[in-house]
Amino acid sequence: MSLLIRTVARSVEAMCLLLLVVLTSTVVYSATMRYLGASPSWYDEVAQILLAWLSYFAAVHAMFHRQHMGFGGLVMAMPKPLRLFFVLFAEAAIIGFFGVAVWYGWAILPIAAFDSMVSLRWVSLGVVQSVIPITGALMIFASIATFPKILREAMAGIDRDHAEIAEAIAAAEADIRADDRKGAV
Amino acid sequence: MVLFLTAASLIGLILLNVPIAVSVGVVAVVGFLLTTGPMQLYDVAITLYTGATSFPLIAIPLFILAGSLMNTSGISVRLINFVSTLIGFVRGGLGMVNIGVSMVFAEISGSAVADVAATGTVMIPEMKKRGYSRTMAAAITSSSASLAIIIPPSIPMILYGAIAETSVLKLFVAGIIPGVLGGFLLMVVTYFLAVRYDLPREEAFNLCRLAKAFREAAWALTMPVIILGGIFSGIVTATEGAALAVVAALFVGGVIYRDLSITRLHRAMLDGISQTGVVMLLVATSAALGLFLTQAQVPQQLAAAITEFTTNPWVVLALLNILLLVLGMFLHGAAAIILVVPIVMPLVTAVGIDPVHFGIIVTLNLAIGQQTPPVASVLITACSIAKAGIWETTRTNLPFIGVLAFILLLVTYVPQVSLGLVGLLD
Repeated sequence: MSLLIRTVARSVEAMCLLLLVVLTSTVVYSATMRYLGASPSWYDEVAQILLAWLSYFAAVHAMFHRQHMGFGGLVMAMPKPLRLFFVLFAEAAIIGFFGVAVWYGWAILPIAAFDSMVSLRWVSLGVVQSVIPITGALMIFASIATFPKILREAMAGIDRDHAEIAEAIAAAEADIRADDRKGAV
Repeated sequence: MVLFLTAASLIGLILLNVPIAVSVGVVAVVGFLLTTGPMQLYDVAITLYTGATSFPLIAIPLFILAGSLMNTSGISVRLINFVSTLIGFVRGGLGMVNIGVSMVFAEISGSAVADVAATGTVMIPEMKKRGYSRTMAAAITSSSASLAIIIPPSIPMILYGAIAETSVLKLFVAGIIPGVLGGFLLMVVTYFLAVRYDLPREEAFNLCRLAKAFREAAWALTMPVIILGGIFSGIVTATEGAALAVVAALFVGGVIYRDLSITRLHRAMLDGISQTGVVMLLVATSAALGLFLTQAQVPQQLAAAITEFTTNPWVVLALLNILLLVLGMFLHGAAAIILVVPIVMPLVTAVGIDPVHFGIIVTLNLAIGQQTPPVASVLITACSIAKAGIWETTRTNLPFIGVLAFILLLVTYVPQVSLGLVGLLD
């Protein structure tokens, strides 16, 4: 099971990196071509689609690392049984919402498939908008896959916000130590 | 009634630790189910897609990536050294260096926590070594990093610009005077506190050392000049400026300074990706909630209800300031902008408030919100690094919060402070 989770998480990460590189290259290419007097006609539409795809795959990546903004202070201050109840409630809300996104996102695809992109007529809008059901399903997967960790943290009374701050500080301190070793500072 | 129920459900879900983006989506789905029925959920699915395709928002992942690259590629350390040799000789100089550096770096990468962690881990231990109290070091770092929200480039401003359909360029320009003035006043307060607590000067001013630090930081210093100069002069758009920032950070960090290893590049990209996902999911689900509220005519009804009570823009601004200050205490900055701006914009335009002016007011309110517990991620990060208590730091922080509040009042009631430079663009 952990191999499956790792494989999916790594695939999502690779997809995000690819989309980020392509989006950045697209904007740089378009800006350069604009100055050369040959602005690509497909730029606006393609860049917007890349943004949407990057946004949703990045959101899945953030879900694997449980980085979405929340307010854990109140629940973490509750007694353990209540804490457990509300942790389950939050998971149910996540799965329920993305379940709706998958169901209705999937249902609109056949209708969207009747139309295509304006600048690239060979790309169906069904393909373009499939990002919603695909990433919706991945969100549910990421939520279930990381639930044991969230449950452990909640039972130990660890607030995600504070854990994230500790991780950021640890990463910055590791950078400083690495720089010190290199003698760069 | 719809607004009240929506707000109550949303606050309830957020307090129960449902991620904010999901809370927003759940309220939209349940709202539609209870009012118009499941047929409208097809529109929700479409809006979830279109909500993430707003063109100005393309700048967000790019600026976030550029910020992550700058944080991890040695650019910030060189800027700190340069600013230190430039103004470190003044009493309380290290505090002022901290303010200068925080203002340049904070809010660039979209994660205030990551930015404060990057600069705070360098500055705060140094300040403690030089005799600054833990709370003073944390307070200076935290307040200056929060003020940076109005100094371009700023992710919250891009978000506001996209949601309020306002020029991001004008917002960037409007933030310059309040940002610089705020930074100057924070330094003045630091100076007086330094005299009071007999804090040290750094090494005496030395032209040779300054020249050496300048040479080392020269490439890092050209980055804001190229990026902001390009955007302000109209050579590149804000989105293109963001891509330019990525290329410049890669070049300076990777080729010139050679501090950007593949591992660091990978981590910077993943940091940028995470922040993009967090912000953009909230943008998309808020678009779905916006659809529900607009169909229920909530923003229009709110505008009508308040304009029935008063049409005086100054009174409306005072009310909005109170609302935003309270929200800023409980919501992260980006979340507050995404949730509040679509609802209050019809009111803002109805009473004739300039949307650029209002944008600076919104972001300044959120800067103060980042200093006030319980949700004060910038303050908490600074306190964690300094190993200082949050409430004792808040007491030390009061004069600095006072500066932020003064700038907010100045910007609110003297629109020329923010709009003066914007007028030159027209």
